[in-house]
Amino acid sequence: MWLNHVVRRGLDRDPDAIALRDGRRDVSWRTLHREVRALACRLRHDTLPGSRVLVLSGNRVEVLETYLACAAAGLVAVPVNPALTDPEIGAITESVEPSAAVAEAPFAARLADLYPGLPVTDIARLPELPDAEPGSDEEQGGGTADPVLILHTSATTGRAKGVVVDQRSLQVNALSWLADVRPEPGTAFLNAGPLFHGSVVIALDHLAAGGTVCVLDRFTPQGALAALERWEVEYAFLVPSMVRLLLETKSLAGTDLSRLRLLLHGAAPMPADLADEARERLGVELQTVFGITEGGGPVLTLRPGTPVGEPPVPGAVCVGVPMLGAGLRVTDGEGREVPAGTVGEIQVSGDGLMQAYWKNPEATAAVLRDGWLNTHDLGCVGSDGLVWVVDRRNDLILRGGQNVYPAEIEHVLRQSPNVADVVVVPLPSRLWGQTPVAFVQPAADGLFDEAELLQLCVDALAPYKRPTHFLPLERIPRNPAGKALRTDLRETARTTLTADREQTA
Amino acid sequence: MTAVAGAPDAVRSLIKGSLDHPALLDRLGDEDDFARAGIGSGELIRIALSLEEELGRPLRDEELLGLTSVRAVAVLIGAEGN
Repeated sequence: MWLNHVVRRGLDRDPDAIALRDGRRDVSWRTLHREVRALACRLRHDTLPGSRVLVLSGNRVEVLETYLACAAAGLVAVPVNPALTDPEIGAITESVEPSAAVAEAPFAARLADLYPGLPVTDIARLPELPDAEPGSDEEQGGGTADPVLILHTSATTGRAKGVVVDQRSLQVNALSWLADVRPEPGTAFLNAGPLFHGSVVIALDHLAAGGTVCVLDRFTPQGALAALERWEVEYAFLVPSMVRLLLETKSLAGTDLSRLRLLLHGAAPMPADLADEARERLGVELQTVFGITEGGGPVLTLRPGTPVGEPPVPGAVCVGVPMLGAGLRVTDGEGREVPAGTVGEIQVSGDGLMQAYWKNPEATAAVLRDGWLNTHDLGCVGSDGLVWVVDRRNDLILRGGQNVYPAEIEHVLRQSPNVADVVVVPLPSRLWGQTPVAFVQPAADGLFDEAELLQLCVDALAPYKRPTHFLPLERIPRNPAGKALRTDLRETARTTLTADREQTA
Repeated sequence: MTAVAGAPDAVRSLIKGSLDHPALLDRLGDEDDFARAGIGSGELIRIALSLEEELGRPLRDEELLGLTSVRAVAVLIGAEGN
C-alpha cells in the first residue's frame, strides 16, 4: 500500500524523472512503475499472498524494484547477503520457506542446489518481463500492517534472526526522514551500502521523497568517489569505515564533490577526528544517524550545526534526538525510567518498530516489551535533551557497519574436536571500528591449529564475520557461574595485538 | 615503482599485506578467484589501496573490477612497469 503509493506518486508527479540509477542504466518513474507491476504479476503466478521471496543479488537497481514488486504483490521480500556461505543461506531458506526467488544468475545456480525446485527469476532480465496483464490490480498489495521485508541480522544464538518489517514501519520512517533530513524531490542520493542491509530503508526514504536513488554495485572508495562526481550526488549515507577509505584514496584529490551537500553517517560510532577531517576535506556537512534494524531503521539523529558540548561520560557519542514518530527512554536493569544524566539501557518506541523476529517469539520477547524496543545500547539523556551512547550492553561486534555476534563464530569454532573452549571478543580497529578476535583453549597441549580454525570459518562464515586473529589460551577465564570474563579478554586482546596490522589500509 | 614489478613472490607479498590471514593466499593458485577462496570485500579494497600506493596513481574502474586473482594483480603491475 505505502510502497505502491510511493511509486504511483512518482509516476504522477514527473514520469520521466529518474527514480533509480546504477552503473548499467537509469530508471525513470514511468519505467519503474511498469517493471514493478510486471514483476509483481510474474511473482503472483508462483506464489500465494504472504509468501516469502528470496532476493539474492549484488547491488543493482532491480533489487529495489524487486522489493517494490513484492510489496505490490502482497509478498514478503527476504534479502540475503550473497557473501554468506551455503550453510548460512541454507539456514535462512529453511526458516523462511520461500515460494520463489529473484536472483542474479550465479546465485541462482547456488539456490538450485540448496533449494531444488524453487522458481527463480533472473533479476538481470527484469526489464524484459512482459507488461502486467490488463486488469492486474496494483492495489492488490497488502495493507500497512502486512509484512513486506524480512531483514536478517547476526544473532546471539548463532543463527541469523529475521526482522519482520511492515509497510507502516517504512511509511513512518519515510515521513520522519522527510522531517529530520529534509531531502527534496529530485535530490540525488548515493546508496553505497549493500541493499540487503537494514540501511536499505534510507534508500526507500529518498525514493518516497521523490529523489533519485543512485546504487553502487559494491563499495570501493574509488567507485564511490567516481559515482559522487558523475551522478552529481547531493546526499549520501556512509558508515565511518567508508568515510575513512574515501579519505585515503588517491583519486579524492581529483574528484569534484561540489554537489555533495550532506553526508549522513551511521551503523557505527564516528570518531571525532574522522568527522573533522571529512568536513574539511570533503567540504560537506555531516549528520549523525542512529538506527537499529529492529527499530525500523533510523530512530535518532543529530543535525549539522547542533551544539553538543562535552560528553557526560568519557568516550560517549552524541546521537541527537528522536526522529519524528520515535519515542525514547533510558531505563535501569528493572525497566524503570531513569532521570536525565543517568546511564541506562536505551529503549525506543513508535510505529516504526519491527513486528517481531520471524518465527522466534522468545527472541522477540527478549527485546520487545509493551511497545518498547531494547536497543541493548547503554546511554543517557543530557539536560538539553540530547541522547548519548556510552557503550553496548551485549557482546555485539560492529565491523565496518555490519553486526557480528561472537556466539555465531564461537558456535562454528566449537565444531573442532581440537577446541575445548572458545570466546570471541571485539578488538578496536582504526579502519573497521572493531574486528572479532577468537581466544581458543585447545583440547590438549599441541592441538592449537590456526589453519584448521581458519578453514572452519572460511567454510561456514561470511568473510566479514571471520576473526582477524586466533589466540591460544591455556584456559578461558570464567567466573564461578561459568560466564566468560569477556571484559578481561577484550583488554587482553587489545594489549596483545597492539601492532594492529591494518595500517596498510 | 618499487621491487614488486613482475616478481610473483613480491606480488604475493603485496597482497598478503592486505589480508587478515596471509595464509589464505598460500592456498591459492595464481589464477584462482579471490572471492571464491574466501577473501572478503574489505580485503579486496585494501589490496586496491596497496596497489594504488605501489603504482603511485589512482586505479581506473576497469582495473578495480579486474582485481580478481594473483595473476590479475601481477599483470596490472607488470603492464605499468613496461
